[in-house]
Amino acid sequence: MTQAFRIENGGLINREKKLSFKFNGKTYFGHEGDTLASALLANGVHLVGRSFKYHRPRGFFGAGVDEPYAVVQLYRNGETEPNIKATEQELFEGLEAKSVNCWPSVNFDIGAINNFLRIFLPAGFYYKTFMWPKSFWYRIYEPFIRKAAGLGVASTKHDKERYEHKYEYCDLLIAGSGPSGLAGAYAAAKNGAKVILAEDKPRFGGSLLTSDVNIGNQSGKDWAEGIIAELKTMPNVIVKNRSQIFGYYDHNMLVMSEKVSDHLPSTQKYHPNKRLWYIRAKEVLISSGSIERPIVFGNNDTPGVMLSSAAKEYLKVYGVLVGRKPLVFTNNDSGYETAIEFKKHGVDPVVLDSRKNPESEIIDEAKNLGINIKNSYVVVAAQGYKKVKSADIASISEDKKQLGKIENIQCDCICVSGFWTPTIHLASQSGNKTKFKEEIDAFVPGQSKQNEITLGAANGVFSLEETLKSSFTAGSELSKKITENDKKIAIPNVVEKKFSQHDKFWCVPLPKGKNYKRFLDFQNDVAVSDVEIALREGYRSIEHVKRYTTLGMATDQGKTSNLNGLQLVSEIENKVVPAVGHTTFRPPYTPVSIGAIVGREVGKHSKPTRKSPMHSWHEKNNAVFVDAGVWLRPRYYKRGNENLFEASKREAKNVRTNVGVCDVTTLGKIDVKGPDAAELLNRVYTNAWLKLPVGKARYGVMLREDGIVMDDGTTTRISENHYHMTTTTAQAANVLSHLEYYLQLFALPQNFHSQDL
Amino acid sequence: MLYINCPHCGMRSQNEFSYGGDASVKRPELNKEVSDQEWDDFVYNRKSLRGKHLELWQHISGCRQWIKVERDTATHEIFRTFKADEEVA
Ligand SMILES: [Zn+2]
Repeated sequence: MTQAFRIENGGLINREKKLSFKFNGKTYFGHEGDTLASALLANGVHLVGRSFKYHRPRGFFGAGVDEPYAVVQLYRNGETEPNIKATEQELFEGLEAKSVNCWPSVNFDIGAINNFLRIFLPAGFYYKTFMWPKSFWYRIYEPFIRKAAGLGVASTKHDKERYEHKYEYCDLLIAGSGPSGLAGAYAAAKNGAKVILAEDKPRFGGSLLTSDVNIGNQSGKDWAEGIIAELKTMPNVIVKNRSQIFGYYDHNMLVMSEKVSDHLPSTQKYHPNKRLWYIRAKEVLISSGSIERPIVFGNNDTPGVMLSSAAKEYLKVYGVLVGRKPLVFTNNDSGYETAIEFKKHGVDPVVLDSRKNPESEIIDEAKNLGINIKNSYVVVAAQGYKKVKSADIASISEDKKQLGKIENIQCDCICVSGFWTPTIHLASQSGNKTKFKEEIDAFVPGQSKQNEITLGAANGVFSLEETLKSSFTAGSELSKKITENDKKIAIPNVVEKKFSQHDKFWCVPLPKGKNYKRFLDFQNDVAVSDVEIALREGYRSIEHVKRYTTLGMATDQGKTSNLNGLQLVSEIENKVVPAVGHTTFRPPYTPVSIGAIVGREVGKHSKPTRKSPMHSWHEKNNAVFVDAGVWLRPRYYKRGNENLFEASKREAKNVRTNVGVCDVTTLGKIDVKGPDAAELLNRVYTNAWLKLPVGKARYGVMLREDGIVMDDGTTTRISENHYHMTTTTAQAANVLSHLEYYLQLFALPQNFHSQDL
Repeated sequence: MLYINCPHCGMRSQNEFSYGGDASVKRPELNKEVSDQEWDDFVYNRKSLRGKHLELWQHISGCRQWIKVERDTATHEIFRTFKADEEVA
């Protein structure tokens, strides 16, 4: 199959370099710079998986980290990894991926019968159904759920890849390389601050890659490239792409996962697969942008229904059309940007705007291009099973309660925009008290707890000019505090279109006599009706509703569903959204490989292996070794075909009749010296030590303050004020700390000294 | 991960330290008659405070000194740190 949906020119991919890859066993072609998602869409492949509960067909919904559907099993260089988002995985030559959550195949999936049984699978289904009879749980329910659940299979083989940990310190850490991150980094770097700029995507620039703006007389994209190029030359700046800051922990410690090799067919020699960065930052600028949120309507999970920003990104970054008959359904001006992009490439979109009389520059532009715009119109339901074939649309009354006559129009994709949700995860993880911003129907960071500031779209500010101004200023001010430099930077001229107010509308009512599934959470199959059941059954706290319905609990952690879920709860409960409150954001922001978390501490590297000085003698005498903590100790010396019991008898007999040697190298040894050495021993051991003659040893039992035995061993008096203590192998470190505790906290009348030998 | 100011070494990450319990309890004086209640309080009875708390930590992967850390157990904010023999006002 050729790349039928790839436009002739445009996009940021490398058209010179063609790559072949396999999806579900079939070979396709894409280009260097593609993601697996964009390459599949270029080939017209929209069906990539099945949904978690009902096994409904799943396509692509986003173009990045927010993707709820396109989770695949990846095969690379003889290894396999589950839970990979096709929208994040970069294409490489020979890539292989398979759909998950379907059996026997994505096209014919037996689990889809759940879709027809769905009246039996409402919210709380697991809690209610599987309670009785008890014996059924082990024999029937659990095996069934185990087989049906899951988003891929973990490898059971030893992982050949290597993962690294790295510790770093900086003045200013910046999460996200969009306009806000770039401006903040640039200003701080010019002041001589040590800056780390992290971008999770392969390309820097964030929204500047897809928006139609001008900064300092260049396109936003060119401006971003210029800033990045300059930052890369500065010795005080670390610029990292493919690096996701996923956790904000105490005392301004942030953790970042850098994908070093995932975009390559195999990991280069001496390179890790991933590198985990522990970064202690004096200040943090969160410029993580925002994620478009969907509008909820009937069958809104059909493949071909996707975020309008994703459709725009596929077109502008990858040169891919997600459809040839697009329907854009929007409640704000963003949908028009996507429509205009389609029109520029010779595709005629239809725009449905839920607003009655919206007026703005961009709407005028769309009208002038001759785009078909229907105001006060909504999509009632998508039609088509494995792909959108048409849409039922209708006009809607001003109070958004009454639908007009339903018409059906042909389309092959529905691009949805329900306005934007600031990505506040990192700010919230840091302990920031978030607040609800009425104008944008979303939460934004409020009072900071740690040294953190959130700017740009992540702070609910969608004007580029305002974002650049505040970010340049913040970069200057934050770095000035640290470096005491104050270099003035001219804020460049910005040309952007002013947006008009979005419509506070997020869910299309059901037409009479229809009970279409209207999905809130696309990965966990949570529909409007599920939340309604939960509330009807008495769940009130949003945390309880989340757990009962599993809303926002999948691997995408509700990036596209949380706010719509809150809107629904607040509507039914007749409360305002901030009174309902949001659920707690916890790290990680996106899934992190277990290998990256473990790092190099695997197998023999997990702890040192200690060998006694006479280890080679033990080996020569055929010792069978046993692990004793970190030590290798000889268990017995094997002669001929002896077993453990026979060898033990022989060795015991030898010791009783001749003489034996025991290698006690593994014991802890602590030298205790000084006029009060005996007094220290008296305090930690139950025995008395003052009268032990020089040159003699004595066995001692060591107690904790509460009288529990903590250790035992022999101590030898070497001279008047010099004792040599041995401890058990395992307790050596604890005993040393215990002695230091007495030395440092309960100063004895005279000084003495202990040393770990 | 906490960032602890060791009074001997300066700011170091938590993974260089080990926690050593409540620093506010006073060990009964030596060579003095001690009631069971006093021993009981010293050995077992702890308040498990929510809020400002004086703790013992040892800089095991650094200078090996025991130090006192005044920390909020709820917010993890560290207010002050002291050497082992420093009196905390
Ligand atoms: Zn120290």
